[in-house]
Amino acid sequence: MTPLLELRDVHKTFQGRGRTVRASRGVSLKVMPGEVVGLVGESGSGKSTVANMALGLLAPDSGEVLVHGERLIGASRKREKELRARVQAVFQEPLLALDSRRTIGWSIAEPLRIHGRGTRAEQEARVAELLTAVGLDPAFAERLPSQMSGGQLQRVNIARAIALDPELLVCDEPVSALDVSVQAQIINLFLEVQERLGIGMLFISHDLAVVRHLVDRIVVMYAGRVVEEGPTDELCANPHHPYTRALLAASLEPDADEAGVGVRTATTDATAAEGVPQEGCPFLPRCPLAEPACSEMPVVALAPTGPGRASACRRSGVLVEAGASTSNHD
Amino acid sequence: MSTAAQAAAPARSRGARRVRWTPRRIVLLAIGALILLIVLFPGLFTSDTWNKVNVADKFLSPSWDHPFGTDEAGRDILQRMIHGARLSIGASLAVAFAAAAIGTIYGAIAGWVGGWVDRILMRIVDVFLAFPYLVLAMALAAAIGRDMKSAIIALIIVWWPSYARMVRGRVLSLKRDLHVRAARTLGASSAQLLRWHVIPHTFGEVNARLTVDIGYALVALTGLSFLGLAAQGTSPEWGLMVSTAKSFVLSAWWYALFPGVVILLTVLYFVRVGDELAGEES
Amino acid sequence: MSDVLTVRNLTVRYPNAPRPSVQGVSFTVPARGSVALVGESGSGKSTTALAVTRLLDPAVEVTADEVSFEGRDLLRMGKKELRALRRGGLGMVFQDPRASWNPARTIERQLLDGLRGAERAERRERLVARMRRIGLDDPERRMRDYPHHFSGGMLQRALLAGVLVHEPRLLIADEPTSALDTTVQAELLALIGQLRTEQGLSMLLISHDLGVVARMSDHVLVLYAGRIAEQGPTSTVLAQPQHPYTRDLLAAIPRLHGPRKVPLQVGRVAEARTEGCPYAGRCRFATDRCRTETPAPRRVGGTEVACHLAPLPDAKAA
Repeated sequence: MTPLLELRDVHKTFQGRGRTVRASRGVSLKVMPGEVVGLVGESGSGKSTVANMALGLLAPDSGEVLVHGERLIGASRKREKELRARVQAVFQEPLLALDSRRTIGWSIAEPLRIHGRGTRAEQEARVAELLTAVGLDPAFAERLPSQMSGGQLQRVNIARAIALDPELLVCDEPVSALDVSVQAQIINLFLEVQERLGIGMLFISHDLAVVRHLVDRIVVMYAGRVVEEGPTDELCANPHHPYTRALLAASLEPDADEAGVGVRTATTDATAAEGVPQEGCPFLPRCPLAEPACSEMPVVALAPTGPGRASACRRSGVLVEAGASTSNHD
Repeated sequence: MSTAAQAAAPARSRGARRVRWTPRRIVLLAIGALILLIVLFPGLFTSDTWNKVNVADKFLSPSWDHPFGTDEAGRDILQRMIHGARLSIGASLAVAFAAAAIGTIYGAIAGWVGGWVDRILMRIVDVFLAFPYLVLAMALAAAIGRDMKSAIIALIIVWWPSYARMVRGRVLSLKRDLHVRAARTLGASSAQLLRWHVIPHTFGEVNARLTVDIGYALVALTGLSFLGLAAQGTSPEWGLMVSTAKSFVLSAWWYALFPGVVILLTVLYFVRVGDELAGEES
Repeated sequence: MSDVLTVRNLTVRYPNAPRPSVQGVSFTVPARGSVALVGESGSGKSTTALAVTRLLDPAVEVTADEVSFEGRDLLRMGKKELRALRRGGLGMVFQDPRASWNPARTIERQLLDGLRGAERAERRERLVARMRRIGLDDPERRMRDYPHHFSGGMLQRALLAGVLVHEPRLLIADEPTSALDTTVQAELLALIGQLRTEQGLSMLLISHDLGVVARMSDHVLVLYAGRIAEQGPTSTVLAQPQHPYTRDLLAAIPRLHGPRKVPLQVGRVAEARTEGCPYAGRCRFATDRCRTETPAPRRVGGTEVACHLAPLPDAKAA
């Protein structure tokens, strides 16, 4: 089976004013048909760069970005259009993703118009159908984006993204700008869309809890590299990379038994995080498990650590064992 | 009945933004309507004999019958100005709109394509902008043919580069905007992106400058006429009237004064409207 | 006089607003205590903090029976006294670490400007010690850097150092970690916790994040549409919420444990009501009474709740 989306050893470096940001340093990942993959990382991890490359908005410096086994950038105009119809996007800022001068109905009909799907009357009927499908009144078609709330606008963006019946949705932080209860509604809508359309998804977020709720498999990025990947439940229960472990430990949950107590910190001094080493393990300066030998590793490759699991850490064996012993105790 | 109502309300209202109608804006709009009416139907405001020579009435000072007085051929200056409005304001409109249209398309292409195309296109613009525009327009008008048409063409040639530069800057930032990138992921072509999502977003700024420029084009055009490079002969073009009047400035003060004042007020009007549009934009 | 901050019946109304942004909010921050205001956008949590610190535009109408800091009336305090207080007993930290700094001046100059009295060298010494305490390596050198050389987390730490050097009694923190990454947030919260214990500092925390509130406060006010929906000890409110809104809010948060890929529980979609209970439009349990009569706060279980229906049946079912 051809993956819907495949990144093979993708590199991307941005040259800023006297600063070089290596946003992607050999990222490889795959999304299979119907699979829902989460991409987790903090700011500067390169996750949005991956999203932009997957959507063909940014060309990699080296490596391959393949949609259905084909390159999007450099394809003929006709082929590019066909491929784009299969991969649609939902972005973080729902208001900015829509043209402020166009009505909601116009924007949702836009993909249909671009791809010449149906007559004008059919397109209007489809817009009404899509609005209903995302839980909005079809009368919203007449409104302008500025007349709607953030949650409503994100529903509109989802309606537009599924208008062409794509096989893959690339969602870049789609719920991060929303209030808790609105965020929950949009998460539920994503679940519903997954279930009803059997659509594949690359769901990108800094929030591990949100990602965990929605996806089958998680890919964790740190400083432009994939440091761990694995099935959601196993990865969250038993992380094989110290960074994933730190991320899990740092996530705050409003559980009463934790109220009023100090924060458990698994990471080390944050000042060390100011710089990421150019070579070797990017997490080394913050890593609680680091040994002198770690700094001698030129490259830490992603290596299998279990069924469907991989970690880019010299010491992941320690975490794998620790995980095995706790699950034996249960 | 219900089908008619549905058919009458398709989901295609073009997202007109709500305008706040302050008293000042209503006055500005009313003046605009009056100007339009004068330009389109000058005959409504004048008698049929407005251009008839009547030496007996020459150089009559302003009165009820001739509010702006009469000229050396005994013609009513106000009526001549009403007919001249079509030439002066009409030509200014033509200059501003043509320059804006050419500049917008040119600048949009430069900003959108970028790279060496942008560098070459903008270098050409720089060459134009390096000259004082009136001097350049005078030279061009003289070279092309010393009449109204060549003056209009000359002014368009010197005027579009400023729009090109403005629109290019706007397009450079617009093409990075999320709504444009989002539309690209839908599969839109560059032409569609430009037509639907980029160029319409430059209209606000272009319109504000365009309105002000109608006023400035009026100054430039009447200036060229005054210098004998645009309207010729007995044309009621405003600049030409002032030019003719300058010979009689001591005997008939009203002859140069009223056309001059009307030109000034018209310029101020368009500048004011332009400011209003610019304010609305920000 | 053990309360640091007392707010009684605070109401804030923006000009031309259909309803007050804050209505009848009362709470006290005891010495060494930490009180959290939690809510979504439009709940009035930030407006409350701005009203208390007198940072609202004068056109905004602020009324209250009492707003006092250590017994001093904050609402009628003169500008000079207020400024002295902001450089002394009352410290403030806001959400956006970048917006709090002037990008054109070094960290050191900006922090020294805020310090009064003593010799420059001595002030500098105090600052250096403070910066080292908050975890800045090589503070003598790094303090001469400009804000853009610092990460968001480091800037927020430096700001905290600059505030705490005045040895305030109350720290007002408005979403202090919302712009930061998860791991950086955890570290900063731990630091705030430690510094609070060391300095005996009280805190008024404003946050939308119940996880942060759970760790950082011992008393919480849940605000909805400008009113207190529920308040009480943080652990009680989070464990046995009595207001339907608190329950919906808790159920709407995706967790790291428990079931996944199941719909989260959310209230219905509706605007806040101006008549009756503001939450009635979204509440699953709403009755006719809720739609007409505004509920007054009552003690139910361990919390004070503004709901006609409390105690709700089967708290665990939510």
